[in-house]
This record gives sequence, C-alpha cells and structure tokens, in this order.
Amino acid sequence: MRTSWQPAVATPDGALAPGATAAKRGRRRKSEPGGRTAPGGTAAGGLGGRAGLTMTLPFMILYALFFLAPFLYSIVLSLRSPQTGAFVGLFNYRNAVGNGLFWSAVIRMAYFGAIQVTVMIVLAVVLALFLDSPYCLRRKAFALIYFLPYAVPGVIAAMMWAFLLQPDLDNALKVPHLLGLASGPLNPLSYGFVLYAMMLIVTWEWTGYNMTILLTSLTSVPREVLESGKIDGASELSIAWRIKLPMIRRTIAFITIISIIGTLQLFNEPVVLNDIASMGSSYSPNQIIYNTAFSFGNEQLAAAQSIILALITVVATAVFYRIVRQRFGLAGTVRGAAR
Amino acid sequence: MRSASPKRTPHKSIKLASIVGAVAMLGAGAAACSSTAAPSASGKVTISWWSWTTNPKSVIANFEKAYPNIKITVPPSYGSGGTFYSKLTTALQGGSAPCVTQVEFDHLPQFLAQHDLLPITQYVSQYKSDFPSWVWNQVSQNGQVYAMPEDIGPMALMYQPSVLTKYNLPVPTTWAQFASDAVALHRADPSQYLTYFAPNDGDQMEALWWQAGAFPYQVQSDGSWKVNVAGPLEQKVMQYWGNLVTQGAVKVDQDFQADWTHHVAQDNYVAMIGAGWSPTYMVDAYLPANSTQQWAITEMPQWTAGAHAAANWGGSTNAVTKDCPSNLVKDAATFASYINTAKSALSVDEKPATPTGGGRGLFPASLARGSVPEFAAPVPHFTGNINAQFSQYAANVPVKFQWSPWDTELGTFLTAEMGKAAAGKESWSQVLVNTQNQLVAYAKSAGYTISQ
Repeated sequence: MRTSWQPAVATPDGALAPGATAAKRGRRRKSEPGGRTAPGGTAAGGLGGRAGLTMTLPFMILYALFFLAPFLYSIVLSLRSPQTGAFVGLFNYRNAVGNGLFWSAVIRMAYFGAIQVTVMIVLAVVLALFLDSPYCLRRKAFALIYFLPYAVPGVIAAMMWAFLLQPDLDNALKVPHLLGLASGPLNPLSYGFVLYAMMLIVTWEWTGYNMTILLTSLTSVPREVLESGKIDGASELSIAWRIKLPMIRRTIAFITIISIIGTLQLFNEPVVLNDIASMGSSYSPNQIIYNTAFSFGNEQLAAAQSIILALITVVATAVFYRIVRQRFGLAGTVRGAAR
Repeated sequence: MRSASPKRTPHKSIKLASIVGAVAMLGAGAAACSSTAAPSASGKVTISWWSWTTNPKSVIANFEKAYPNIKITVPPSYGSGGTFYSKLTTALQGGSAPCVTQVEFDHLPQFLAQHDLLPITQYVSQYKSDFPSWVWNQVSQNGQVYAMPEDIGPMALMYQPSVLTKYNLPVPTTWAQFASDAVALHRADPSQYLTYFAPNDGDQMEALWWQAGAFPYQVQSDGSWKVNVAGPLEQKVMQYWGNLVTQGAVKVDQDFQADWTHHVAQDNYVAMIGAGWSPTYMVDAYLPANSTQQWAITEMPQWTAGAHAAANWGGSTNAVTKDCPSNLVKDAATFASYINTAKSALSVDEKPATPTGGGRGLFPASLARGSVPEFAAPVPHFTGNINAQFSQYAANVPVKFQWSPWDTELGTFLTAEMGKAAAGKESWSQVLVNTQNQLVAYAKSAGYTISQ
C-alpha cells in the first residue's frame, strides 16, 4: 500500500520530558494521532519562519519558566552540600548511586512496568479493535465508560481502591473463604501482593485513556483499504489483525513509550497505599525523591536522585524505541512525519 | 514520630485529607501564616502558631484572656506527624514558618541541627523546676533552652482485667510473663490476642528501646554522632517481638489504620502497650457506644523482675522558629510558656479532646498537672485514677536518653525493615543491621559526621 496513506502520528515534540521534578505522572499530554498529511510533507510543513515562531512563543515562555528554569535549578542544587550549601561536585550523585534502596525501587518499577504495561497495552488494543468493529453495539457509550476511570483524579482512585482491597472493609474479599477455597479473607494489600494490587489500579486507571487514543488512530485508517480487504474475502478478525493493527503500530509504540515513562515516575499509588499496606516510603523511585526532599528536608540529594531518574528514563525510552523501530519499521513514530 | 497529643486523632479523615493536601501542596505555594512585623496602632501583636492538638481555639481563648494585647492565629490543619513535619520543613526552607510551632521531643534535634529554632532561655528559664529533669534536658542544648515542653507520654500497660481473670492468667509484671500470657491466651481463645505488633510504628519501638535502657544515639563533644541501633539491647527487644510474631502469639497489625481500629472495637486485643494519651486516643476513640470493655493500667512489664524501668512514647513541645520577627520573640515565648504552665491552661489541656469537652486530652509535662480538678476526672472504660498512675511512672523515665536528628529517616528505614520481617521476607536479626546501615549511609549523605 502507498505509505503516504499511513496515519501520521503527530506527537508533541519528543517524549514527555522525564521527571526532573517530583510526582508528575498525571501530566501526560494527549497525542494528536490521525489526520491526513500532504503527501511527502511534514505535519508542520510550510508554516515555518516568523509565523511559526510567534505562535509558539507563549508556549516557549511558559516552557522556559516552568520546565527549563526549574530543571537547571535542580542541576545546580544537586551539586551543593546539604548542610552548608557550598559547591561539592558529585557528592550527592555518589550518595544517590550508592543508595541500595533507590536501585531496588528502580528494579521494582522495571518489573512492574514489564507486566503492567504489557497487560494494559494488550487490553487497550483489544478493546479499541473491538469497539472499531461492526460487532460493537452502542460504541460511543462504551467508549465513554471505558474512558471514565481516567476522569477520576489519581489520588482519589488510589484511595478508593485502597478501601476496596482491604479485607475488613470489603466483603467481596471474604467470598473465596466462605466458599471454602481459601483459608482466610484475601488480602491484596499484604506485603507480597501489594505490587500486583498497584498493577491492577494503574491498569484500571489508564486502559481507557490508551484505548481512546487508539480508537482515534483507528478512525484514520483509510476505508478503501478495509473495503478492499472485505472484497478479497477477509473476515473481521483478519481485517483487525492484518490490516488495522499494522496501521496503528506507531500509535501503539507511542503509548507504550508514554506508559514506560509513567511507570518509572509512579507516585500516587505507592504513597496512598503506604498508609494502609505499609510497604514503606521507599517503594518507588519518585516516592523516595519526594520523601528525601520534603520529609528528610534534603533537597540536594533529592535533586541528584531526580536527575539520575531522568537519565534512566531517557535511556529506557531510547532503548525501547531503538528495538521496536528496527523490528517493526516505526521510523517517524516520535517525529511524526509521514514516511 | 507521634506526639502524646492527638497524633492520630483526628486520625483517618484528617490523615487522608492531608495526603491529598500534601500532594496538592506540591504545586501550591506555601500558605504562610506570617506574623505582622510591627504592632498595629492599638498596640496588638499577632503571633502565628502551628499545632495539631485538638481544640486549639480553647487554648487561644484562654491565653488571650490573660494577654489581651497578643493575638494568636488559629493553627491551620496540616495533618499530624510526618505530614506536618514535611510542611514545617518546607516552610522553614522557604522562610515562611510560623512564630510558634509544635515539635515532638524526638524531632527537636532535627530542627536544632538545621538551626531552625531560636533560643528562648532568657524568657523561660524560671520554669525549669516545673518539669521533670529528663524533659528539661531534651529541650535544652549547650546550656540554652529551645522549646517549652507541652505534654509527655509516660508508658504503661493497658489491659482488660476481667479477660485475664477469665483465663486464669496473671497480670504480667515481666516481659517473660507477658510472652507466656500471650501464647496461653491465644491458645485459649483463637479470636483474641494479648496484643498486636505494629511494624509501621517506629516510635513505639524506639520507646521500647528506651525502656530497655538503650542509648542508640549520642552526640559527641566535637559535634559528631555515635549511632548504633543494632546494639545488644535493641536487638534483644526486636528479637523478643520477632519471636512473638513468629509464634503467632501476637497479631501483626498496622496501628492507627482502618483494620486496626476495627480490631480494637471488636475486642480482639486484651492488652496494649500505651502511654499517657493512650486511654483517649487508642481505646476510647474506637470503642462503639455500647461497648462493655473495661480497662485498667499497670506498670510496663520489666526485663528484670522487681525493676521499675519506665519510658516515654511521644510528647511534644512548643518552639519558636527562626522565621519569627525579632520583636515578637518575647511574646512568642510568653505564649509557649503560658499554655504549658499556667493553671488555667493545664485545665484546658486535661479536659477531654472532644467538641463538647473543649480540651486537648493531653497528659501535661508540667509537674503541676495534678493541681487541677480535671486530673482526677474518670476516663470512660477505665478504672482508677489513671493520671495518678501515669504520673508515678513518669518519675522513673531514664534521664539521659537522647534523640537523633534523623528520627524521620529512622522511622522510614526501620518500619520498612520491620514490615519485611513481619511478612517473612527476612530474619528479625537482620532488621536492625539493615536499618543501621541505611541510617548511617543517610546521615553521611546529609553531611553529618558519624563516629562509630
């Protein structure tokens, strides 16, 4: 098929800038997938020069004030001594790197991401393809229902789930015990299971959001291609698997990258669940950074930890992008140009 | 890091609200209650005050009657314990902290080390004899006084006499007896436990170390610190509780969380380790109106039969911060002293911490606590004059115990390790070794010199 008909995923420039500041998991920018572009042109094509600069100036000012400036301040802060404020070079970085708890948290998040992101993306893709098929009744209603968990603020959602998952407060957890299948009420918030409880909560929160992005991307699949597939005798399942799925692969890659970044920055769920499940305030890297800055009052060390987390995120994203680009021919996923 | 004052009451609702508030706070600027720097035309000054004690308006009203020219702002709700200290730390770093703030004893060294508190010796030295010597020790450093003691938490064992009698168990006077009682009780009635073990409560564990005679933190004359939380006495205490947990003789329960409050209400615990504030904040706060539970107080179990080792759990002070304008320091110190030493103030302190009671439900640090009628008032569900008993135990608290500047950090590391051990992920002897390593590494990364 002519590649110029590929749905162009015009994304915001670069991936979300990873966490130089604490706790910004909710700050995912919605991408703008879909939309035909002029054959051979770039998404922003033809508007360069002064008009472009003027239109982006407000954004640039805010970006400089609220992202670049604090980011540079963090770097400066991370080079200072916690006690005297004097310049101490890499003192804080050495302590951050030597902190076993920090690396345990990073590895924990990697494990979390490997399972949760996979499950969530698969679920989002399946739901989107299903909603896009003729088998779906009341598509708009269901699309809204699946999207609703995203509308619940993250902290509220975590609290709601924390109550739902407590054996003494939720009778549903006692059902297996009553049926004789378990020796006691289930406790998803016990030390060994709380990570999986968090996976459940995060998947519930974000699947609908990712599904909505995919649905939008699916609307830009050209109808001619689908019709020609039907004429050739392909079943709906075949069409979904062999035609639609490859055409939205850039969007899938994009939401996966965003999810990976979000996973490394996980904050709401560990903090809210800590009060109930008590797994400690060193559970996720962002939680450690927050704790170090605001509980321990050691902003310099926290700044160093943030920079390190940002570097880890950049590396993880770059590695993932490299792998899938070559494997799936995804050149242009991040830059958004039609190829 | 909980105070004897309402540390977890208003427990859940304010705690949850303060989590939400804390996260929202990240974006919001610090809402400073700054004092006016100069008196207004009528000669009045305004002093800002932060505290998480209940019914602060009663305290303010009582003070303003005696000092009509000094107005006190009502403390905002910044949560209690860790949440409160996060807010205070951030405000101090931004220069917008209040004139007077509540600080628990175990957190004083942290704020002193960061030079956040002003010496008030000249205004308060006359009150030294009002307080037990260990209390005055903990608010002083290098001959200067930095805070006025507010309340303390002398420890005791709370228990239900009828239940122990029912199973023919002696009231435990030693820890060995406590352990055998725990095993026997749970065997006799699997739905009840003698008590619980709270892996999320670092403060209680430190108080138990204090009672065992341990001195984990000692500041040296050159300003460096000796710290060893994995010493023999600390390990003895940890092993003791680890054994009880492993045997299933005590229930693992996150204290002051929803599940635990249910268990207290359901009468799952026959006894609890408590402090001066516990009858109100650990028992009465959670019993349903129709509960028939009857509790009594006795001395803490001892490691050596016949000894009277006591300890303190919680307790706060009121300190004057560096952000207080210099012309207001005297008035701030006057406020901090009055509300903790004047008879009318002690009355307010000892009234029940309910909306109708109008008091703070505290066990005041002042030795004059017995001179007000509220001292002997009966406490629901408890028999005897429990305040008199707590006073007696308070007299035996070891004087030389010191806190470290890293009490928050210790709490973070210790509770995480205890949680792991309680879940069976590591051995109990490893808990303190890991905590010690993490604590020393952290203290060094914060710029302290550790001499081990």
